[in-house]
Amino acid sequence: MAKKRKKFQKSQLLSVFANGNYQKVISKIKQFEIDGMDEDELLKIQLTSYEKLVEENFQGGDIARAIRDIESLISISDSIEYRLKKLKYLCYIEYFADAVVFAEELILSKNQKIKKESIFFYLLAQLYIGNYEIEPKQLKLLSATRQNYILAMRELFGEDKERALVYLESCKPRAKVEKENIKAIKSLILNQEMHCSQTLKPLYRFLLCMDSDGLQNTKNSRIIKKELTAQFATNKKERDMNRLISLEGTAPIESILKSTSNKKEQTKLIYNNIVLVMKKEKDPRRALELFVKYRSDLLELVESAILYINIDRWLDDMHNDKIIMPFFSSYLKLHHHKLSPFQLDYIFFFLLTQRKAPKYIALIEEYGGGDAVFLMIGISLINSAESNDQETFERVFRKYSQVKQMMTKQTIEQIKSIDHLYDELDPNGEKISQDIIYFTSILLANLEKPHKGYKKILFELLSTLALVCQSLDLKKEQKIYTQLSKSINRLIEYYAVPRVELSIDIKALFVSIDQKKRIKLSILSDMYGGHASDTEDRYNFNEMEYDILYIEKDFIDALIERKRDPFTILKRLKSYRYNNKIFKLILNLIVKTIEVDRYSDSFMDDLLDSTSITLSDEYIRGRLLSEVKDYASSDPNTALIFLRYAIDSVSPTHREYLWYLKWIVTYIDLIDTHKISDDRDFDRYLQLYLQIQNKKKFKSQKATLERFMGQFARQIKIQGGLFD
Amino acid sequence: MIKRSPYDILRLEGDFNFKDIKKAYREAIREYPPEQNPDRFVMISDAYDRLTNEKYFVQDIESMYFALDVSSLPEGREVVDNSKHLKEIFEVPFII
Repeated sequence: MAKKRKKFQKSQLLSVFANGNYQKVISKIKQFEIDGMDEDELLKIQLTSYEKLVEENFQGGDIARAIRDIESLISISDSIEYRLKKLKYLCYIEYFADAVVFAEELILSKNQKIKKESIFFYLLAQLYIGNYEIEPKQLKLLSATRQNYILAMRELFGEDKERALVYLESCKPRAKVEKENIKAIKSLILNQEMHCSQTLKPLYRFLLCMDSDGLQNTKNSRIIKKELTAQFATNKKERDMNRLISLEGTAPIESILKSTSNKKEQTKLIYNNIVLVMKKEKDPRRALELFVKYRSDLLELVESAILYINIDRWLDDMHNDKIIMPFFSSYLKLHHHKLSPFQLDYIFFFLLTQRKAPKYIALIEEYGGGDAVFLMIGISLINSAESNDQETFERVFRKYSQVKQMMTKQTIEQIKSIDHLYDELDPNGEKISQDIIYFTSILLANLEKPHKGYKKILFELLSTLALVCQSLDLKKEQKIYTQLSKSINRLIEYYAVPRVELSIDIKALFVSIDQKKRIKLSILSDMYGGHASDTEDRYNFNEMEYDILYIEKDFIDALIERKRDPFTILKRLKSYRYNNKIFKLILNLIVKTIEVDRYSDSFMDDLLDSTSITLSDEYIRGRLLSEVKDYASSDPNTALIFLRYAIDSVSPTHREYLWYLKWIVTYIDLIDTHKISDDRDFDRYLQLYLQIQNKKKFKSQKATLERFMGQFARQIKIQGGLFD
Repeated sequence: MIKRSPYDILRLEGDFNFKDIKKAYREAIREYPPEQNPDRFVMISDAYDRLTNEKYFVQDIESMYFALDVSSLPEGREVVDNSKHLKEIFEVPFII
């Protein structure tokens, strides 16, 4: 009696099926009796599971299993569609002879679709076994696209690529993916690169891009895969090298070293590779790593020092003195005679910026960098002003050099740092700081012919010295203050610098000396991140007042000298035209001009033009009266000159305004208050007032009018009773 | 764009001297007269200026990287033909 099979519940089987575990479904059906499932249902689930497995295995490249499963499927249900599938798989597994035999029956099918499809694979299988004779009758049954493809393959087997390409050109499938596949075949024949999309058939994707996903696992494919993997690595190296040579991208150093046996070429390629790591990959750490590794080879290249400096600039935390010193020492020995003085200076500047060890100084001095050492090291250690120091200083600043300017800038930054530290310095530190200011000031004062190009940087140096100087006690260190101001004055004179253009630190120093007290800097502002050096709050004095004062002084000097145009100086006042001191300045200038007998009718026009002040400006107009009244308290005559100019400057068509009447009232009142008896314009202005008020009848002027009527009745009567 | 090394442009090789730069510049111009080779002249002049004129040297030195001239192709390069494998592994371009 046959052993009874164990049972497996239908619901369980359906659950396994629903989970997509088709292999398990098949195995359960083989192993168990499915409880509750009739034969039709069972067959249906079995067929679907096999179909799914066949497809999964084929898609995954497991053609052996796909064949096995399709055969199982045929054994359960011998349909012609399954047989056609088996024919295809026999081709994919490269059993072409079997495929030919298997197809002979299928091509006789009355189902035209099956027939055509079978013929297509039959003819291809014939080609793959070496039978290139194509039966025309069979071929004609296929679509033109497939006919052309078969003919193209026949030419390819016959090594006639050109004819193969001609047929492929006529191979025009409708589906986009099929078009792409044809294009891929053409690219392979032409040995052209092509972008590999995921929709390409696995073989084409593999041959073009070494992506073997879904490639059928056959004897041939395994061999070719191995061969191509090695070849692809070589190709990649070549591609990398070509990219490096054309400066499009970097290449692995191993590829560079294998690409040529010529050592010199290798070094150049490594150099270019490092340049590309910097430029294209923006990876200074990697660049430095490579540079350090191949430094002894790179040393041979005159370009290597600047490359190193440009890499180092990005890596503040990776300075490696053990490498830099020997590298630059050897580099200078090998190449110094090839370099221009400014290139050498640039290297010295780099070395001295970060590295102040005596060995660096000795190296730089050995190659003629004594001036650089003095500028970047010597000044910060200066404790006397020897004649040789003066000579060096003179030599440096006589001939303009941008690199020397960069060095000076660096020195300035060092001196500036004293400003922050001064209060924490010990007596020795204080002494050093004082020496820097004092002796550098002496060197600057004695500079005979500094180049004009250095004007800006020398004033920056002076400004920094002035800034640090304010940290010193003026009473104790008066000598230093005086020396520095002497140096500044010397260079102001040499470069003809207008005083208003001086930095606030220099201006503060002068004011400090004038007032005999140190003007303390707002250190707190500095400490808490303020930009005090750029703002007035650095010092407790008003820089604008200082500037206006100097402009006034300079204008008066020019007025007296009669050699310069004084109005040019006034142009500097443009930015201060809304300053509350401006009227006082104008009035002071009128006084001075009268004093030196230079006042003329056009004076006021020039004065206001050059200062960009217009009396039609509402702000200026609004403030004019209070400023004039204020000035009149000490000098009514000058105030009246200015007010007279203002009143007359308004055109007759713009006079019927309240503000204009107020100007006239102020004029009349000033005459009356200061008892000026013989003013030539008084009567004219009184009449003008009466005319305008009579016409406009401003309510706010009613009281003034009545006052004038009583106060100046006599003058009004003389003028002919204009007022009713 | 990465510029060519000015030394390469002026063909300065081996143990030359700073003074040789001028000589190399003159030779380059003689070989490539400016009126016949305006583009090349610009390149030669730029190279010369970078090596001898501080203003040119400093203007962009911090961002300037030069590439050196190297031979055009690596040694032993082979042309690879992958189309032969189309005959060894079966595939069809059509949806099947």
